[in-house]
Amino acid sequence: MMNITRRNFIKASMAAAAAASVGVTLPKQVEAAEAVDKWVKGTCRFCGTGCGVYVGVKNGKLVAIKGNPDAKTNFGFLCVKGFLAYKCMYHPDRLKAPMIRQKDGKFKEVSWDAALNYVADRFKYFRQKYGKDSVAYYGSGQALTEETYTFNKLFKGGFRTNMVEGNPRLCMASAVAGYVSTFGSDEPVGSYADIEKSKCLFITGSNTSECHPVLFRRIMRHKLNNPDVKIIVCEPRKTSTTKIADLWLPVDPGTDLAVFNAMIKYILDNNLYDAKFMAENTRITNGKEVKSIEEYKEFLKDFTLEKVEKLTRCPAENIKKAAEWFAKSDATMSLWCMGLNQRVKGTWANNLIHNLHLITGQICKPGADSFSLTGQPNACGGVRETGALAHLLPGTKPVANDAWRAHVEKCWDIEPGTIDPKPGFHTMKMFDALGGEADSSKPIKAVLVCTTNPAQSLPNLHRYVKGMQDSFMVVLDIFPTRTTQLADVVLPAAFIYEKGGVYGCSERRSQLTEKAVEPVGQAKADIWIAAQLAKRMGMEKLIPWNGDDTMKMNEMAWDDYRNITKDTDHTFAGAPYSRLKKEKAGLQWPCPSVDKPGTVRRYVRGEDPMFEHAGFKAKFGHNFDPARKVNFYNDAKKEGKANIFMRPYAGAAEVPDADYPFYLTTGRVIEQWHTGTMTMRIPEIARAHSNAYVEIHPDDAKKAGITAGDMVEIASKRGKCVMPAHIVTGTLPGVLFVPWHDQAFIRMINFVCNDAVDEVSFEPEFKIAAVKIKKVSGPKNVAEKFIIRDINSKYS
Amino acid sequence: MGKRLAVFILLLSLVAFGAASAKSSKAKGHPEKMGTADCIECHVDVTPEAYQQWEQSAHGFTGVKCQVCHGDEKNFKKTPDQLTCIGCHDHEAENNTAPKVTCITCHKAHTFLTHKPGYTPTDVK
Repeated sequence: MMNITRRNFIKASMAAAAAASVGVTLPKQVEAAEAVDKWVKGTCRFCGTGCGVYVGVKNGKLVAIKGNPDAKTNFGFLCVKGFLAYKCMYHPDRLKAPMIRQKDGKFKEVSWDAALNYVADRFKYFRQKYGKDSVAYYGSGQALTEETYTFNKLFKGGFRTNMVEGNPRLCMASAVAGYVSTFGSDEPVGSYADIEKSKCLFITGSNTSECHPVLFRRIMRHKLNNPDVKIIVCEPRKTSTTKIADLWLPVDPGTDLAVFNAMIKYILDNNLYDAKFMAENTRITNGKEVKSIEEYKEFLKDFTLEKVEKLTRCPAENIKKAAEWFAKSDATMSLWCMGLNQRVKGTWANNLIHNLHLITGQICKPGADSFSLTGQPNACGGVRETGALAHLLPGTKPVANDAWRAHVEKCWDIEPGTIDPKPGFHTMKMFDALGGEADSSKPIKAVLVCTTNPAQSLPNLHRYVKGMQDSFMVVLDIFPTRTTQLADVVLPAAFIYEKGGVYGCSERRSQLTEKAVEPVGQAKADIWIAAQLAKRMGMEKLIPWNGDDTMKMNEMAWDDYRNITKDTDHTFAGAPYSRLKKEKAGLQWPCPSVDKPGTVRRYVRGEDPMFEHAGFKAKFGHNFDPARKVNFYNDAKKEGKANIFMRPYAGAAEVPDADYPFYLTTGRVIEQWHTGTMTMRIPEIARAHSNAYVEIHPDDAKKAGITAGDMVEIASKRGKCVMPAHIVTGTLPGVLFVPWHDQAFIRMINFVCNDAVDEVSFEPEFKIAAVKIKKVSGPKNVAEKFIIRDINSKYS
Repeated sequence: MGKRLAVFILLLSLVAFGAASAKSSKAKGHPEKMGTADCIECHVDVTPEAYQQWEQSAHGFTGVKCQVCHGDEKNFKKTPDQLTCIGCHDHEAENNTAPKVTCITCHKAHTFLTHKPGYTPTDVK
């Protein structure tokens, strides 16, 4: 009754206010000019779109942000996170001093010298007692390129260990494996600019409207201006991305490989493929032998529309229409993200999307591309390109490659044989191997965690918490998190606009952020922390950028990286800081010299400078047939061809059964970023999706006796959560959805998620778990906007 | 009680008028306590026309929700200032062909459409 009265009151008030404002002449534009002292160029801190920004500085503090209209990524537009969430840098919870956990379990503030000496001494102790691989690094696709490069160099070249991982293993590893296996080199062929040239967009495993909202704006605008452009969305949830779609391919989680194979079969059977493109530029293979189109057809014979409909719940008519639109359009572009990558068959799913493009020739031309969207702002530039994973070196090349290892050792001026040829442990194995000195089954005794929150973001968390608790864990972050709750040392890091550096986004574009303001408190740039640790461990020669000017340090690290990769297809030889400072939109690699503009489209003669790159040809022995316009020159067989892998059907690691009858899938919401450590500290954002919830189809809710708002327990074999029910019609019956940003223990859905990994990429299957649900109570208000605030709080 | 409510509505109207007429809009705080609710939770009912206009606009499609422009409980602004608009529309503001008026003079809240109709979404097949 109170509520109705209040709402009626507000209605009356709004009506009166609206009437009052009719005819009012609005004010002249006056505020903007005086609001800031200067605007400083940078990049957005959040998703992988790579939006260009200007941050407004007044009296030495950031007070405003605006999109960079000259940026080729966002053309000036920002999303809710980009527009508001930078403000978190002045939140009172910012970590402002180094801290060491004491015997009583509480943290004590110490000087930087004391903290760094302590960490260096402990690292030396573990390395001496347990060997070089006992100290690991776990980084992030949100750290700057220079920071990640420096830690990678310190650990692989200094500590001689490949126990170097980063959270891109949890999000993009399958995309890397897909690109490398199909094309011989990581990252997309084309660019965002293909969106506006496309005639058909195939969006799968991506809720672009919420996870890449500014790119979705480009798609939306393209559709608005060209209603004939076809948009197909393939995924279990009828997300807000489908608002502009012409066709939805609903599929049960993990079954889309069958849909992709059915589309390929339909295209081949109905002669919708591009035989000339296939013959010149591709080879069909089962991984061992080259196969013919007829053999591929035979391989696909069971993927009939009718059979696939039964397996996936995707209507046969929709698959047929999608295949026709995909193949017949003048230019088709695919976009995907975690829905394909975070799967035990993520690499195969990526291969199959590439196959669709390769058999139809929908690649290497304007508007046609097989484009993986990146989740984090610097997963591509910072981690993939600098090779900061356990099996890689800078240039995204394997540590197991003798020639490349020797090249990197030469560039780093270290003794031949210093870098271990054996890959380190992938992320899940690394955290599984992490433990205390008392546990001889755990070979990794210490870990340095930089700019990420594994104690909330790993799947099947219960399995890994003890290792983090028992080991010696050093955490570099800006706020207290679930991970700092398990740490031994916490080092306060500077925010991106307090230090500057390079971020490289989904489209091979790296952009420089200038340092705009000084860090809060005693916070320091991560690159400074890395260099100071190196210095204390006698590795000053390896990491010579150990001054106090972070932009100078960044530039030295960037030049070091550019020197290693100058003759690769990842080259940024033409992108020194002096140029990046001037470029309003950054540069796309390959960019081999300062007179080159960067590359919009790879593998196409006249557009890709590697066709003419003498150093590249000499170093890797590539020959380019002058008669061919397209050349997938990273082909391991030196034929310039891409692989069309014959991939059979394989479902999820865990599928619903009598005991756990529902699929659970997880994801993001537009306002919240990852574990909510930044976005949940912005009041305007925190009230939007302030707690996790479970989306349930009305039919399932009715059967379980659940009504809207009821508290529901979601349980897998690994763990359980309790959260409110949202009854939604869009998701397929039998499929539940939970966002994963909530820090409240009872709603941390990663306790429930599956940690089974893809056998090629080692990326875990966050996206699919079998669960059961039950109502535990009626509605409760749990929108308490919970965040970890007390650095001494417990992990519970 | 009815009289007091009427007086309050009158006062609120005057405040709203004042805010719209002021040289630059200032943070006044949201007229209602918002509790833990998101803006849309109430406004879908209390200002359904504004909600529907927003939902069909470019802002609605791309998730630029109420609080991006209007703030929330403590920093609420009925009329967003120009600094808010240039956050995304700097180029347009710089090239404004009618420099004596602000964005929202012509681009009406919450549709923002002045020149052409938008793409009308239909329920996806």
